[in-house]
Amino acid sequence: MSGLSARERILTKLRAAHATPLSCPDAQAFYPAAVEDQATRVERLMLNMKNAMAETHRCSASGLADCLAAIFNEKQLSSVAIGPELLADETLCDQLRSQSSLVPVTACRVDQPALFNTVDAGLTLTQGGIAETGTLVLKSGNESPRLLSLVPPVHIAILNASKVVDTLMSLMVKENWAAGLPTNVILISSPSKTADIQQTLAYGAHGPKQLVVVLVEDR
Amino acid sequence: MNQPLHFVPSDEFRQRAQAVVENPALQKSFRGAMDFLQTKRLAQFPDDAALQRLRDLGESIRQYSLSRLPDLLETLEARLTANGIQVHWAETPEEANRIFIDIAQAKNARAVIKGKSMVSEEVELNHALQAAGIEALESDMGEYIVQLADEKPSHIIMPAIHKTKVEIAELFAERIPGVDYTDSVDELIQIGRKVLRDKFATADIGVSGVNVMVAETGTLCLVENEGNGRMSTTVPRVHIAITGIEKVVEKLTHVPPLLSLLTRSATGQAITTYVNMISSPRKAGELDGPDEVHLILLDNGRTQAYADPQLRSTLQCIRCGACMNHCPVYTRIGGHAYGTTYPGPIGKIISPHLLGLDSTYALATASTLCGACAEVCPVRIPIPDLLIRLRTEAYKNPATADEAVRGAGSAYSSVAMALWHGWAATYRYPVIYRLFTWCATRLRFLTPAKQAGWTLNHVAMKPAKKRFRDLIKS
Repeated sequence: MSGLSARERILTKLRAAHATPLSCPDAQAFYPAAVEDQATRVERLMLNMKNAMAETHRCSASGLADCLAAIFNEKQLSSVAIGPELLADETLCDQLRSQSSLVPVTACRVDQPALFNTVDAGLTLTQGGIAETGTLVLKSGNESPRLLSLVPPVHIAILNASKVVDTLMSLMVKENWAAGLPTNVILISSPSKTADIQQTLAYGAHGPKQLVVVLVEDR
Repeated sequence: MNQPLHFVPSDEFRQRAQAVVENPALQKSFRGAMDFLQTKRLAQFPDDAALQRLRDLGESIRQYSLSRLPDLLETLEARLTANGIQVHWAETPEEANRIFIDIAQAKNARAVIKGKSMVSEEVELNHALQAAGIEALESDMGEYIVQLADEKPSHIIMPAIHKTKVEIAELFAERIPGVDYTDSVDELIQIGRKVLRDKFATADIGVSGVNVMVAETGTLCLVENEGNGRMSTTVPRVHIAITGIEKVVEKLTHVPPLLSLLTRSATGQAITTYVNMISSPRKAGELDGPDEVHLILLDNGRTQAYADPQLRSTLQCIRCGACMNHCPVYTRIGGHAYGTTYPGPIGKIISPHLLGLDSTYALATASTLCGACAEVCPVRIPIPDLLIRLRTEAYKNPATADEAVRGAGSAYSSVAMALWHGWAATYRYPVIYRLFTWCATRLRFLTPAKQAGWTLNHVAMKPAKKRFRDLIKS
């Protein structure tokens, strides 16, 4: 098979095994339909996140700016990076600017040095929450840079209570992820951590040392 | 045939294992670590019935995926290509390294930052890159420690599990310029973070492994806790992922059960800090992410395991490491003694395909067949059966051995085989058996006081004065 490419050689060898195709397992059937109400689900997510050393806050939609400003103040965050998704909300940004300076991340690679060197925190929206594991779902896009939730030492994530689902499976199915995914989907369940030195847990390995979840309840 | 990358003579395996067994510090270190991981795993599976159902599902997903492997790889390739990810195929480690170096040279890359990838260890990527004048730096804390110490990972999930914090503290003080001795784990991690941050920001290429590839969407799923995997796959302009051809599933819905089994079995976590699902390079208008994403699909002996219906189950593995965490042999001899990239029970059954049975058959004999590995395996790989199969392959007559495993028959000895045939005949024919026992009881004074390995730890064996049948008669 020397004249063939590695691809052809590998596929030829695999096909020569004549493996009998099995029937496709239905993984979805393994996950029972949700029985709890939304409020219980949200409580479960918040508890799981708290247990995973995330800091949790709650506010109403109208109280979001005050809640964030209080967090900025309490943590002494002098500069907070935000992406286009939040810059669009001018009222919110104006209120936040009274507390900290906002560093807009709007140009590819241009804003990267600031993120690595000077910014105190990254503030992002989230596109969902998973109760089972206490997980935030972030999807990349033109409005949502990926590095905001990763590079600064603090990540503050805004989660809409109505977007909390039971399991990763239910989210995939509900939003039909199989039809196509964005460039990057990130599931975040705690601050960055490691137990690589003598099984001792330490936070802030390479990503944020603190994860702050702000739950916005639509009341 | 290419010379295997890690040729590990079997007699040295015994010496290395012996050295660890005689080292109380290492014994304590491994015992502690394994107890920790076992306890954490157990806490994640409070309901045994639910665990068994999930294992059934995990097993069936992996078996289904393997049953359609060539089709799924083609679908995956088509999907990834449509998404803008460039797919490369490598039959050997040399080919894989060549692909890396070609991409790096085309980009004039000087520095590569690596997320954790055991397949990159398998092909010895770091050495190949260094030989080509490209710096390769590990960024997973455990891998960074191991690289700094000029060692290899001793565990596939926790690479520096053999090291104590004091050893790591000494290592950092000695090898990282401007660092004073500290044995505070928090401070050590912050030192590592600081050193590696600059490297993330300036590296030309990021390298990662892959935990699961999804054919239907063309998605690469990676799990991690530290954030270095996300850094390596987001910050540099080029991301190159490398993984084995077996790591593909058809449907996105196959991912949640496998991830759940993986993280709970590996480190006792319901989910890792980050689950990273990559489906394309940075699209126009997006504000970060690599401009190019490459995937290297590595064979390196996996097609050999695939060819045999029994050995194929080796490829069900999702690399959680639970088998090594529960293995009484691994716990006592640690990861380095094996000498292979993958240690422990999974290493014993996958390494013969990567490196040939001739250099690895001793590994399969280092097992009591207690079955702890198969009991915890989240995808139910029948590891003890595979160990027996590999032993049989290694010891059978090379003249009649088929080519199911490269190096089959390499442990064959005509003297040993003749002895076994004699033994079998003794038990098959009563006349020979009686003659044998009659002689043995009368010639018992001839039994040597030293009996090879046996008398190292046991009293010498000696036939009884009287045969059992004679005892009954009298």
